[in-house]
Amino acid sequence: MFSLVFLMLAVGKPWGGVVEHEFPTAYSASDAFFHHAMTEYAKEDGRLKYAAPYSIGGYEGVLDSHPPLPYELAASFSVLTGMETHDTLFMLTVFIYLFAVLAAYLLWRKGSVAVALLALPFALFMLQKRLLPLIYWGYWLLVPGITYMIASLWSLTIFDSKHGPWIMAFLFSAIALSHQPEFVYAGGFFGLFLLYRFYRERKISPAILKKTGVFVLVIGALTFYSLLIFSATFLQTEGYRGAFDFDVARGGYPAFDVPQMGWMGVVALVGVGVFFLMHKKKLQLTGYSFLYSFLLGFLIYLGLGKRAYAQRLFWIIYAAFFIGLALYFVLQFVSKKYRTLIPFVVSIVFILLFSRSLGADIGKNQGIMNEYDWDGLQWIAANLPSDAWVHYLYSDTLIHNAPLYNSEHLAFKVGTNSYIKLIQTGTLQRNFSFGFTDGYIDRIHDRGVFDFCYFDQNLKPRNESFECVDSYIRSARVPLADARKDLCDMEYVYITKQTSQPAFGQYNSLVREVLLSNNWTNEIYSNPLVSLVHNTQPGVECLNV
Amino acid sequence: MSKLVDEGKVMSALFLVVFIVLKIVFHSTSVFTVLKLTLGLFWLFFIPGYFLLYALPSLSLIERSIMSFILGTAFYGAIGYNLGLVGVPFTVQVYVVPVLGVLIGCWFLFRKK
Repeated sequence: MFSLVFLMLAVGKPWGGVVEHEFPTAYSASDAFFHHAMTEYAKEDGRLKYAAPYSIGGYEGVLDSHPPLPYELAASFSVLTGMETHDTLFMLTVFIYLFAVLAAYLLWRKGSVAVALLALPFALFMLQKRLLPLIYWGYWLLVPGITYMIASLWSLTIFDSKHGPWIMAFLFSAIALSHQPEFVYAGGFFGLFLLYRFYRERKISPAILKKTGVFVLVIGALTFYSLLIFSATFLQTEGYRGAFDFDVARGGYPAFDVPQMGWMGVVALVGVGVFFLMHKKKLQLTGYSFLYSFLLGFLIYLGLGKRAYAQRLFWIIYAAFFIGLALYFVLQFVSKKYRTLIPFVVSIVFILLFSRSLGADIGKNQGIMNEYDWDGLQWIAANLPSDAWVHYLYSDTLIHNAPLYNSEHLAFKVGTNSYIKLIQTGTLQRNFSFGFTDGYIDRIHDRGVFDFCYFDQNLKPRNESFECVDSYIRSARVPLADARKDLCDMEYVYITKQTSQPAFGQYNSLVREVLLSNNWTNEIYSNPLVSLVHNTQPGVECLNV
Repeated sequence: MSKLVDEGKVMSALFLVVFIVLKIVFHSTSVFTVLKLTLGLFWLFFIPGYFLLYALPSLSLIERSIMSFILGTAFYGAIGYNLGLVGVPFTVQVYVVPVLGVLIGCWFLFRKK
């Protein structure tokens, strides 16, 4: 029942009960489109190894330095079922999100079934409006990272099983292949777990050493290459952040601090008190696991920035056990009979109540893509020469970088602020400032299996004047000549005819009219929203101003 | 053998529950599409995960059911990615990795006996 309600709120309602869509639906920020572009490219490439060239300056053979597991799952599922990657990626992320709660439920049950039943409904508050960006904005590496981290905490309960370390190793590897910070956090807790065992047993038994050895070796084998790429790229810039300005530390995540826990935070605090007062052995692993996870959110005070802040977005899952414990404590005063039945009934009532209130905030969500822009981007992907550069005038939909990767061509989008200044002149200007829509700055290329180099230019120059250097460098920014363009120099111009702010649409249309007044420029694609103009003689004077 | 039959019944019941839940969630989608979706989830993730969990015979049914998906995705993601690195395409991975998971699970089952 919980799973049904969770899925209905997280994906059923936003998708209007439909599982297959013409274009990415409910995608509401650039990150979501970025992950989709990587998945789609992997599917087209047949395997996951290299990054989409149009997301990294046009280079072929640049290794994708993102954690691969979510893309691997979504691309494979798409290949098997024939569903589009934009559907499989979103849907699998939501499913994995649900299983984060269910994994937590298993760990709660290790403490007490009654407490687990009482805690479960509160996990629905992960779908409150403030936290929905976890799904819609595309935090689709973080979500699996958290799921496998919680599952790894559960897996400590099987450490003493004969084959337990093998299963644990797959779960820990999955964290490393989904979102590396959670791998560090889970590893930290595993270390504490071993220390506790050592403290309790006063010796390191050969059995523990053997299990730990198997565990480490399997993880090493499964994650070696991915972590090698990670260490040669993101770790260079995304390691310890030293971020003590908390607005900066949040790093784009939705704000979620202690006050946002509200009354649940107060009840959870009571639950923590009950946990320490009861001091029951059976509750210890569960209690300390979630206390540890909860406290990770405070590592922002040590400068860990958004990698610590991200944990706050899952505080509700971590705190739910203590909320359930507090309620269980109170229910014991009401009746000592029916120790499981009453929590079961209370749980169902809470799930129904919470789903009603949370559901009121969730409606059908198309996201930022629309059928016309999607069709335009797909047309470009299918019809323009692969080395063509496309310049995009202002569009409500395409103000982010990653949606443009669906065109599968290098894209430059006009700078909004500079465009406003052009509009304010009241006349058609010829010089436009563009931003290059690159995905990330590390262009690591494999010359051999373990032999890497880094491309030195952010945008692959058309005259091939770039180098691949041995030591890590951040690629040079796009040259001014490519960022500032004369209107007559652009070969392909993507023009949106209507915008929410009419002035943008009017200026776009003015550009279109002037360009098309020349007999060497053609409109090669058009729909009610989009016009694609091809200048067959770039560089030839095209304005009569 | 009777153990496998019992497990088959559990797996069938789990399949039915997942199918019904997905049909309600995706109520405007055809039965065929939801069936395809459910089959895909079971083939790639639930079944390999379920078999791999034969490594842990003491798990309860609810633990097996939940962890089969989580372990199945972890196993598929980790093995599939590494196979891709050595050139095995998705079109092969989607069959090889689940079968590998099932075979390893059978090995655990066989050893136990």
